[in-house]
Amino acid sequence: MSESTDNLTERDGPAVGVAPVDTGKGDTIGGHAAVGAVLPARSWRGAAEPQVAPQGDRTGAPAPRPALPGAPVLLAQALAPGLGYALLRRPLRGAVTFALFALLTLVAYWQFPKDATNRGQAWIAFGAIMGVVWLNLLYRTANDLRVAAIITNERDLDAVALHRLLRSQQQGLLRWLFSLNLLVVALLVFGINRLAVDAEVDLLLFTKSSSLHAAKKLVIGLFHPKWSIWREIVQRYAWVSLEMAALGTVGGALLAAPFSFLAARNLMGRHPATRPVYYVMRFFFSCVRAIPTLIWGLIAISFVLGHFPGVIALSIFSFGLLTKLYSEAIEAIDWGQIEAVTAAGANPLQVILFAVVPQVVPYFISSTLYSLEVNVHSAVVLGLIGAGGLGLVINEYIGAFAWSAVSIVLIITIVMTLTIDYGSAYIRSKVV
Amino acid sequence: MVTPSGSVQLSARGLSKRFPNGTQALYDVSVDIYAGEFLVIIGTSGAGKSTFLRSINGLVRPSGGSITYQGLELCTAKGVALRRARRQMGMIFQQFNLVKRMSVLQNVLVGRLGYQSGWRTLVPLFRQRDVDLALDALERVGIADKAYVRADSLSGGQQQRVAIARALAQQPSLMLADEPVASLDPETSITVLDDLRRINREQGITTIVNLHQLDFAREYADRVIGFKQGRLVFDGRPDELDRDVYERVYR
Repeated sequence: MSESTDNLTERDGPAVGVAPVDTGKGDTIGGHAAVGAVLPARSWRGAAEPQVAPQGDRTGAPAPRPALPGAPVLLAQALAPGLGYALLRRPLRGAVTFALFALLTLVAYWQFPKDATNRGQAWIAFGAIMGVVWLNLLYRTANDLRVAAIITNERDLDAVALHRLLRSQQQGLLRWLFSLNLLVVALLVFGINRLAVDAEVDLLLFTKSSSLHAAKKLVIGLFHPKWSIWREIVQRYAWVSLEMAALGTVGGALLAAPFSFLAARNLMGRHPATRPVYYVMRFFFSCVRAIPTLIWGLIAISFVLGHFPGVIALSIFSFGLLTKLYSEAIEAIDWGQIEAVTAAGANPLQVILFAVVPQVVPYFISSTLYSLEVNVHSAVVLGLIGAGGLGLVINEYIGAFAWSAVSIVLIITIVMTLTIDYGSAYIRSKVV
Repeated sequence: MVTPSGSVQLSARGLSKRFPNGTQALYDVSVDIYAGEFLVIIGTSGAGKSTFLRSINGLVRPSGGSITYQGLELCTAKGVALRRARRQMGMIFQQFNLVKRMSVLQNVLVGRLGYQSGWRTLVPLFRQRDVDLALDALERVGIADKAYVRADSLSGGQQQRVAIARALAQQPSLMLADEPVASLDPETSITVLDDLRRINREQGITTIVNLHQLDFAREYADRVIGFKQGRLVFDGRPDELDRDVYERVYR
């Protein structure tokens, strides 16, 4: 560390010489200067350190260097993480640090195995991690103090020179690594570990020879699509999926169009008699949307078999989705046009026909196309529960490990979905 | 006071309006409006001009007082009665409020909506007579050639003239204009106000215009009333608009 300090003195010598002597850098460096003002300037490293900046050379007289309470701050930080920040008059940062440290202690403690055989190892690992985080906190606090000291001492530097000086203090990979907030890093690591444990992630799976063999067959199969069956897949399955999606969208749109007016705040929220209708509708459609298409499909398929339950499921879901999108379009209309038509003596239905509908139609078309995109995706999935279409056939092929056939079905699915997505996006960009 | 030439067409008594947010927009306003006059209402923004105008055709419901129009009490009128009263009152707005995605002709036909009856109220189909009336109204404001153009492709001045045509198509006996020229340049403002006054003179349609330019008020009005903080503070001829009145209304 002292080596780099020497470098620093050399490197910044000329810059200091060029810099204008009198600058308002206390203002430019806002936050740090505030810390500096709190702390009387003195290197936290103590008297043994070499002088960082030889102001005496320039001013002719030794600069005043009052004592800095670096040691008490570090001691407080060491005893109670965060307390040091409190002493530096940054109570919020202190409180957050303390809370994160406590949280990390709990999380780390929970995640180490506590069975009798390797209890010792677990404690050592726990202690090591907490120790590294603790040291890192002390190191960063020390860094803060040092920066504050430099800012106080180097009052004569202009902002650029000061910035360069501070930057030069942070060079080196190790130093950079250790100046990261390891407290946050450790919490993230433990958090992700928690997610992985709960999700039963098993990375060793990929090292087993049987798995490798299966994976190899899968990859080979996927890269050798069975082109001979594409016509049959398109005619018998992809077309069915598309039809289900289209019919579901039409069904949903027909249901949603009238109901969306009841769920539009600007139409229903104005009168005390109609306001409850708006709230009831909004809650009802939130519930409809909260249940996935697949569940609607399972419910429907328990009554009827074939493609129709798929259409029902898609209709119900797009009903919920489109009511929301339609009513948002209605809520965005220009009220002036409604006033004008009302003022002409039109009845409420005429007002909707002449002032609301012309304004919302492009947005209705756009939303319906978006719903069609979503429904094409959903229709494929609905095949898995027996509603027919691509999902059904892909399920069968996967069950038979017929990866070449799976491959061609996937290709057809991709082509179909992308065509619908891009086509719909293009039309939507033209309409609105 | 102006000596009335015609009979009283509309009479407001003790009119007040308090909005749900607590704003008192109108405070005990009583005024008579005579058939065929060109009345200009002056006042600062928020003085209650707009609320007064909107109370007449029921876009705003007054919280107290009464407005009598041809024997009908407007403040309590509802449903068919209110719509029948409305169709006799054309209204013109500062922002024109045309239905932007419809053609000019369809916009003017909106003025005929109040006259539709039976199944025609359920569909956007108009009688040939209504279409002729609409085209005639467009002719009178000089933009019949734009009939099949989309409304939002017109300039501000043209849009306001479509709005006037829409009001004319109602064959109104009363024309309400809420800051009709506030969004227009001075040149266009003059043509729009000229149109309004010409219609007022030629067809004897009583016209009430909210303005905040005193110059226009002096030039066009038969009679001027002034609002300040919801109260009626001036009622007189346009040539009475002097320094003193200005102080009363605008200070």
